[in-house]
Amino acid sequence: MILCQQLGYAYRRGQPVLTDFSANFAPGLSLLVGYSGCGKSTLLKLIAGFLKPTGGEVLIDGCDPRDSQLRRNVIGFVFQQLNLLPLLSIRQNLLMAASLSSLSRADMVQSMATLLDELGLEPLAARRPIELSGGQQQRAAIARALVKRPAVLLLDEPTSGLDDLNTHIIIRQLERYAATGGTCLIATHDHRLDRLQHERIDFNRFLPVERHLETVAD
Amino acid sequence: MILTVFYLWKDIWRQWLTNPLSCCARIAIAGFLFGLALGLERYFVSVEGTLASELDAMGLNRIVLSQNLYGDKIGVLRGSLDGLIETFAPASGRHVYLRRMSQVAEVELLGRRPIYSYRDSQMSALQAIFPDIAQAGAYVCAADLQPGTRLSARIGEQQINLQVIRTGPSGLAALSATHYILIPDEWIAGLDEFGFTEIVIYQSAHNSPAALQTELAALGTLLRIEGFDEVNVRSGYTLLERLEHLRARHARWSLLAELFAGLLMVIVFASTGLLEYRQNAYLSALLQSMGVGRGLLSLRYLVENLILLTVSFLGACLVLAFVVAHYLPLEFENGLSLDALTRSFQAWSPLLLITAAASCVPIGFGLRRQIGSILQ
Repeated sequence: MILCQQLGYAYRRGQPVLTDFSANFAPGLSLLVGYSGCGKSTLLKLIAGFLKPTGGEVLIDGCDPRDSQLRRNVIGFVFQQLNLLPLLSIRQNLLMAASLSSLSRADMVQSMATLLDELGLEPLAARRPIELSGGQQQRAAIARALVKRPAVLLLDEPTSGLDDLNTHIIIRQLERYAATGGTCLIATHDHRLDRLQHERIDFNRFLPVERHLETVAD
Repeated sequence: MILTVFYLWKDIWRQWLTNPLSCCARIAIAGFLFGLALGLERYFVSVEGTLASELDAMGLNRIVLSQNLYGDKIGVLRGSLDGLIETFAPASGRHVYLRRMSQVAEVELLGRRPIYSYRDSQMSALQAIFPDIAQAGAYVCAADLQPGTRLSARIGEQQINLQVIRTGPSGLAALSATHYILIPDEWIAGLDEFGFTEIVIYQSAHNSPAALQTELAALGTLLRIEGFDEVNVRSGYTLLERLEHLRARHARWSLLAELFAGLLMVIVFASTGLLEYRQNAYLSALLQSMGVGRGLLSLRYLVENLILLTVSFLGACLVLAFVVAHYLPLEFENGLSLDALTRSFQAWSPLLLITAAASCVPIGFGLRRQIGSILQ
């Protein structure tokens, strides 16, 4: 359970991106939709503990997400720009994320094998990120986030710019994840993800009126 | 964890390969500073070693008085130093009176060598210094020749035979002479007309520094009262004082040199590390996002700094040893031996560690930056 209480964040003083945002995210899929710049990615980063709230708090099962233990075991994050480790192969990228978690060796091996297979990455596992296409990298990033079997999965625009086949593979994977009882938050513009069984949160309604107008004007 | 460490090591290696100038500049600057500090250290060690050897040869409880006599002074002051020490010397102490002639002897194999004359009456005191002397006669002191060897020598028009003896355990090192001739006073009649140096070697019965200091002070007072202003006094105790003074200076200067070198290295390493960290903040943030702690990431910079500092230090040791051995008239203790390097490294390792750790402090602050403001 993710609990956001009166959450606020401003990259610059006096220019809040998020103000008094409160919500509970139960296990299952939630789509965060809204205009660019409305604060979807910021919310994901706040939940992941990558940013320190300027107001309010985030709790994941009662714990502060900025605790590195939570990042290792509980939270999986897929960045908009993927951010795979460039010096490692795809298999090593997965192994690194898994080895930081508290998974047993056997679970780690099984989890990696399953994900590489399900996401069609097995033949590409020995390659480095730079040697893969955008869609393949996207799948690798999702595999890296899932390999430690996190209770919370946060994805920032996971299908933007992807073809239908890759999007389909990702949707299937997200459905599998949701079926395991995990909490998945996806910030997206992509209507193809509407096929997922999800709770939809229109982020535009949380914007202050003046920010709403600015965003629409942009 | 192993994979994370492996990745961090790979990242250090990649950084060195992609930016070798930065790595080489750090090694060169640190090596230069280490070289200066080690050079200073070696200089002190070398001077202390020379002084300690001199003290060892002189003996702590020995005092050597000397005065040059020439012209009118010969008639007035001849034997005065001997008389003075007779007055001064407590019953337990003993002394030897020698004269160094202004002329030299031409010795077979050894060439021109200084002449010292002694009095037959002081044989027992002389034998305490030169155990090889059995009876009054002409001798040549040479540590590198076989004792008992006979050599011929010429003093003016006079031809004499010399017997080689070893320099005694305490020897005449105080006279700063090697390969010198010892002959009885009677053999050099007329040779002292051109001037000579009177030398008294006084050996105190005391061995404690406090007693020797008192004795030396008393002798100084006596010399002043009797008007012996031109007498040169050298003593084991004075050498000991100089050695202790030198050791105190050594400790002070070493500390200053280490602090100075350490501070400059901290500035250079910290600023270079910080610049590189800014270029690589992305990677640090990425690893932090996966749950790698700031401690481990700081350790990456600590290890990198330690490697560079160690390479600089060992490089400086090797270069210094080479330069000293080939271009400077100083002794570099044990030269390039592994033992000498290990000892130096052990002595300097705390400084290396402190410098490496202090250089990581700014990076530690950098690692506190919010991950979300770096990663998109």
